[in-house]
Parts: sequence; structure tokens; C-alpha cells
Amino acid sequence: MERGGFNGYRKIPNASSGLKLTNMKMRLAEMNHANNHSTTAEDNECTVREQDRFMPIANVIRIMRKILPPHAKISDDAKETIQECVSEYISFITGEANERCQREQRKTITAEDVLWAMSKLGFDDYIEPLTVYLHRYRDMEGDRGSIRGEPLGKRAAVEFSTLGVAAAAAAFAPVFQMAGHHHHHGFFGAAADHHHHMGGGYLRDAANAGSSQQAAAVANGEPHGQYK
Amino acid sequence: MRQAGVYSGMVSGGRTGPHLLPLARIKKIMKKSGDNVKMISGEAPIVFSKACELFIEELTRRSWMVAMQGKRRTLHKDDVATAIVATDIFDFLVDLVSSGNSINPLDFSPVEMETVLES
Repeated sequence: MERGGFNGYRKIPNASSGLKLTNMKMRLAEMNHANNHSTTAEDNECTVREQDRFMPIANVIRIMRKILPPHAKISDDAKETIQECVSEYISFITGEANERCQREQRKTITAEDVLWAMSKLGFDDYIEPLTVYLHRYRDMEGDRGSIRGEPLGKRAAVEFSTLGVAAAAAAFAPVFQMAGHHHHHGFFGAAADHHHHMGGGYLRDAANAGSSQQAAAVANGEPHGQYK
Repeated sequence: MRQAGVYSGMVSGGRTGPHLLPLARIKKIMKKSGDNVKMISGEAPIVFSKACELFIEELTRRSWMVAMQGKRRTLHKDDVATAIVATDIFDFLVDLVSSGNSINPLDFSPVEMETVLES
């Protein structure tokens, strides 16, 4: 091994590094739970906390695999580290968004607060794709005749997410250097062809049927053009 | 990306629905980010589900570049840590990937370590 007998990347175990040790305990408990199905109350508690704190690792791995070449391997500690980073990211952004709400004496953290916090904390590159994603979500909600801004019904959520993944991935093509995707299905399949002529290659494949005005607003650099 | 991927990846062990990342889990993490987090709109976790996907993609991409520079085909935690340190907007993650020690005894010879401890 290139680092010699000692696993160099893992520093000397430090009992005072509470997060790491707690993580290890929780993961062991979860593994026990998963393997044995014989649980003590303590195992249950640790498992519940583990589930509460992180995104499911299978989902994290799947997203990673979209980026990595087929031959790439991922070490377990890399998977866990990224899993932890995601939770830290959510907390980091939410903290900033929540502070803004408190300053403005509002009780509810909105999508706009989240986007604002992301921009403030340096994640500007995410704002446009997220805004497109959000607008499309709201369009779906609108099509179902519900009031905008209310929590999405399950069916619309299913339709939106299954379409959003394919179409949103296509929308990000220029940003994330993917080859042009023209094989998305369903709702956007027909619409995409009609909007090839739109200015701004960014939105070429992702423009929503019936919301070209909205999409144009985004393409013209008004990320919050349509949404309060 | 084919839609089959959306469903086959939903191995979250719960009834989360076919979102890329489970909204209820996102909401839980948001609530735990501070004592005074009160209410969360329905749309906020939706934004996060996509944002986290972008985040994972970016972190993975940068980490893989580090691994490639080392001519390795396995992504290690070290690669993630290096990518984090090298990226300004990932500063908030630096503590997460450090050992928790500001001094790693392995970095110093015994003589140097004595000096460090005495100072």
C-alpha cells in the first residue's frame, strides 16, 4: 500500500473527535440492525438517529456514479464522507436562510430563502438550474389546479420528479458539460423540440411547454423573474 | 438520464416516493440545523433535493480529479478532503474532514514534536 503499513489517511483515532466516534458507533449499530434484525433499544435509538441525520447512502452513491467513469471504485470512507458532507451542506444553508427569516420576522423558511442563502454562501452556479427546477415544479402544481405554493400532492410530485430528473439533467448540459440529451420522455419530449430555436442554449432542451415566457425570463438573467 | 434510474435508486428503506433524495429526511436535517428553525415551506426540501444532487455531483467531480492526479481508480476520503480544502465554497466542510486535531503527531519527527509540545 502506497502509504505503508499504517493507513495514512485516517489520522490517529481521536476520542475527542466526537463526531467521528459517534458516527462510527451509529454506523455499527445500523449495521447490526441491518444484519441481525435483533435489536436492543440502544440499537434502535442509534439507528433512528443515523437515519435522521444523513441522506440514504444508496442515493448518494447513485448520484456519485453518474459522475464517475464506469471503472471507478469508491471506498467506503469516501461514500460516508460525502454522505456527511451533504447533511452539513443542508445545515449550513438552512442556518443562513433561517437567520434571514428571523431578521425579517418570518416564521417559515421558503424556497426563496434557501436560494438566497445559497447565493450568499457562494453557490451561485446552482441558482439558475434550481430556479428552473422550481419553476417547473410550480407549473406542474398549477396544472393540477391547486393553489401555487402549497405542498405538492403525491401524484404531481411523482410526475414532476420523474420528468424533472431527465429534463433538468438536460437543462444542465452546458453547465455540467454533458452531451446534449434529446431522449427525455413524457411531458418534455414534445415540448423540447419546439424550443430549440430559443436563444440561450442553456434552456434549449428544458423549456417548458406553455412557459416560454418564464423560461425566457430565466434565460435573460432574471432568476427570480417569476417568483416571489 | 433514463427514468429507470430514478426508481431503481430508491433504496432508502422508506416510503419516500420517487424523488431523487427523500424529502422527509431533508426536512429532518433542516429542522436539526438550529434550535430556532420553526416552519419549513413545502417547496424548500424540493429545492434542496435538487441542490444536494448538484452538490454531490460537484464534490464527486472535484474529488475524482484529485484521485486521477494520483493515478488512482479508487476514490478515497483523502481525495474528498483535498478537493474540499482546494475549493473556497467548501470551506464549511474543512472541519468535517479533518481529524479534529490541529496537530497530527505523524507529521512531526520525535524531536520536532517535543518542540511543538513545549511551545
